[in-house]
Amino acid sequence: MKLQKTLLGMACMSTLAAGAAQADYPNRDIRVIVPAAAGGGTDAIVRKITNLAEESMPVSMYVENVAGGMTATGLLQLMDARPDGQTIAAITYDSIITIPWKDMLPGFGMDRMRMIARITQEADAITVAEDAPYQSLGDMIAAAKENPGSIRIGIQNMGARTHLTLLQLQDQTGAEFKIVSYDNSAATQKEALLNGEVDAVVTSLGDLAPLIESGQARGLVEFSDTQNEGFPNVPPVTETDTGLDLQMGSFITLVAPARTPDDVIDKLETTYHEAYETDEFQQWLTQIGVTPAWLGSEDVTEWSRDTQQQLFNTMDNLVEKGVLEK
Amino acid sequence: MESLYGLLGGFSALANPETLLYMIGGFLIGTLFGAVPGLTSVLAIALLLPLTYSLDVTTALVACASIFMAGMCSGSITATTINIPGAPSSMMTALEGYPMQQRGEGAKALGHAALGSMIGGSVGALLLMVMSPLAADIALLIRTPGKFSLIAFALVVIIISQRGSITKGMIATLLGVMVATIGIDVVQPVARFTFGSSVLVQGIDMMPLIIGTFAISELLIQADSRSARTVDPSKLQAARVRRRDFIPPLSEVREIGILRYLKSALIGYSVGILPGAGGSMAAFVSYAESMRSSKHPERYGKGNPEGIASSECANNSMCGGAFVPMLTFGIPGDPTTAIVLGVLVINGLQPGPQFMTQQLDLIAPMFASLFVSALILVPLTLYLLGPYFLKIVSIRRDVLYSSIAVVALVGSYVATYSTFQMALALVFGVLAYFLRKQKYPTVCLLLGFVLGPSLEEYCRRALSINDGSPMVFLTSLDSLFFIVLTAVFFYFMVIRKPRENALNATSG
Amino acid sequence: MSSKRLSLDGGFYVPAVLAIITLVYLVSAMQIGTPMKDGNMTPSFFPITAAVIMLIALVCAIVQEIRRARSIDTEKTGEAPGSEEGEKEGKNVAGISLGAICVALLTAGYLLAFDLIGYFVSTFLYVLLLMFQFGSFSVKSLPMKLIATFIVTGAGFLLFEVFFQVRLPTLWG
Repeated sequence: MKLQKTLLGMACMSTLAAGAAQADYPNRDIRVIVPAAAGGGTDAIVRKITNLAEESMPVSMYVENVAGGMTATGLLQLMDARPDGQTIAAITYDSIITIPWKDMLPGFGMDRMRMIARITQEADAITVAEDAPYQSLGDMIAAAKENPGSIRIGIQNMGARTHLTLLQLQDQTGAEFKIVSYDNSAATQKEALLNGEVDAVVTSLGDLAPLIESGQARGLVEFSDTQNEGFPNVPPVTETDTGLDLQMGSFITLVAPARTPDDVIDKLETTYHEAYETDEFQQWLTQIGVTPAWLGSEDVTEWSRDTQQQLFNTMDNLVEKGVLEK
Repeated sequence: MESLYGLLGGFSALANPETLLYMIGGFLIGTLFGAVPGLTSVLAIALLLPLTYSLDVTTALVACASIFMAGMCSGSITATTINIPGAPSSMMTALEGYPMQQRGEGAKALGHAALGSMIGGSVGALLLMVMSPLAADIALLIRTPGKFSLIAFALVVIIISQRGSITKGMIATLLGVMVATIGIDVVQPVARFTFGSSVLVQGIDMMPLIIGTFAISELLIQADSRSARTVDPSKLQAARVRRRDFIPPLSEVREIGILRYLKSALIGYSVGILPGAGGSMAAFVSYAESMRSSKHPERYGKGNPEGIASSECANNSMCGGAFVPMLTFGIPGDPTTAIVLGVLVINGLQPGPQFMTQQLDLIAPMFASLFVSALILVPLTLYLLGPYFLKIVSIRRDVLYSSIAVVALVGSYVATYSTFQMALALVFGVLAYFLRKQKYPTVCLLLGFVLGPSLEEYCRRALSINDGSPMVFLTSLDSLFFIVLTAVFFYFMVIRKPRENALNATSG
Repeated sequence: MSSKRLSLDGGFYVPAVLAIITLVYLVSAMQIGTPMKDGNMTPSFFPITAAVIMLIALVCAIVQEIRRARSIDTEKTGEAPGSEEGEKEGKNVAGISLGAICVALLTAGYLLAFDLIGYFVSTFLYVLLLMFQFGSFSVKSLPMKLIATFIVTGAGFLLFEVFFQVRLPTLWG
């Protein structure tokens, strides 16, 4: 409690300070927090767009990886930062779904930040090793029904996004998989897929792009409703013969601390939008198989609330069925 | 082939003036910290750690590698001239170097030490570069149950290789494991041991732990001593060396023999791969082996260059080996590689079998730095700065330790802009002070902290793959291998302990 | 009895304090939930295991220490306990050296002052006081120490603010 009061006090004081300084924004380097490990998909995308945005800014923008705690560490730093636009962050699925649902970060909620824009969306997918016997999602589900629990599927963290994707798949098809949890990065999933510890993994196709391109792994299905241009051989789930319409995936949204002034948010939104619109960025996204999905400040705030509500309902539902633990 | 280009690219990265500057700067700092009794190169790297938040990761790694290499060889300076090993790894060098100094051959002893370091360090770095793709391939064969047993093996070896009590090693390790469980669980999104505070949700950072255990606790320990300088200047009066005496005569080098150099380097490299062993163990094993195979074992302990060459060669070669388990499994075997792991983690990089191939452009400059430090900087530093070394090691303690305090504390502030991290560093410093006073190995604390979360994660995953049956650790071959290996080590190091007792008998 | 109390030094108190901390940890671990559920380990399994092994090890250490203390008691030759710890110099309070307490308190004070009054003033005072702690107390050396303090403070500023370009808190901004 005491800490929260202090933080609140600090936030108020710094708002005053920011009010005086915002006229010439930005006047110092802008720190962009990426709450994920360097070298991953999130990191690459934020770095790319930030580098492009930096070109039209008078100051430099540097990306800092603050990994850990399923983005909680990065969120905490954002919450503690002065709301003057000098510190912004990229957030992902876990930041607005898993963490608030589990109430992992005391005092955190969507009201603790202002959203600048959503940049990309990346659907989850099921990927198998090249020599796997399954040619389609249908094959795999049939096999799982025949021998319940015999197919091992690697996810990232129990109770987090990829787990939820798989739980919904099980729920909707009646198939039963053996779920193996890896840490919050695709690197260990890749390793497990390569050394045969699991038969398939659930994560975005972009995360596994090097393996898919080199032919060591094969995408089976993507949980979206449109064909991914980067991976023409992987069908979206709506076009498979399973009749499923399960759409899950992560997204990258840029946020600033709560109470960041409107003109600062506007400035950041327009700058990033220009960077987003460049041919270079768009082509690069297609190349790595990530869907560009711009939503401006107001839209993304509304979308985030809707998404959060909808997924909270889904998860509560699964809790009632006893499939998921809260 | 691709990896070869990558490795060569590492050397070209060193051509960048800024990177080169960090390498040389790191080497000089490492030399200073290694040479001054009471300071270690681990402390130097620990002080560098907070700065790596604002440094480019490649540059930081390059500096770490050169500090590591420098710290391993510069301890021999004071070991030889005044019989005070600047670092524990040069204990063996003191046994042979000081008698040579008394005969007036101090400079030559230093020359032999430098030559040994140069050969050992370069061979170790080369082996690291050549073997790393292979090690990565082998690492891919090891699945989760095997990884669990591998980490358990590492922890057991770390605990039993501590001189002194196994109980104390175990307590320190478990303390580290417990500290690491604070924050979000490794498998499920559940916060543990936060006691309702949001700052603890993110867990305890490695940085304040390292600064606390290695820098702050050192300050507290040193606060007891009242001497004005690190080394009493009167001791240095008699010990003077001339530059032209540094180059060891070819006849003596031939007598030591290329085979002995290579064997020592191999021993050092292998000891380096073992978790928990470190430089002093490498020097000791190599020295003992050299004595065993020598034609004149009776000359050992009386100023024999062979002893210097073999121990210095091994402890520098150890540097290369120590990186293998850290880069391929994320298992550091000694404090230095643990801190280098910290540098990687701070920059969001997670070592693993694929790490070496996919991030080679980041890692290759570090390999190159290790190699160049050994091959060029070791002899060059001795030749250029050798005559002044003895003046350098005697530093005013008040200036030295207050500077260390400022760099350590302000460093932990700027890393995250929070005084919370500073306070955490102080808390760990006080804790480590009491542990060190009671001879609990703080290395165990750090390695328990680093390895604990992986141990837990692998354990839980292995069981969940196999329906909760612990038999999996015995039925999968990779796991069984490490369990047997653990038993073998336990047998030889705890139940039999032959050589160590023998040495204690002779030296004590 | 009093001689027995005397001989229990840090060797006993360190594991004893750790045991108390471990107990708090264990209780907190058990509050997370049951260690096993549906044949799988829960987040509380590993901490509970670690805490239990830790307690066993600590009990071993305490027992060893008490045995050692007893054996010193019986074969006491008038030598003060704790002398084997290598504390040749420096006074101590309850087995903890005064110098270490001083440095720890100074550092704690520095942390508090750092955010409040900024880098320069707090660092200058901290370094100056440390200079006395790690050196001699003589008045004669004061000018020298002041100069050295000034250099250390300035060098620290140069290193962090200029070389690494990080912002340090200052009194005026």
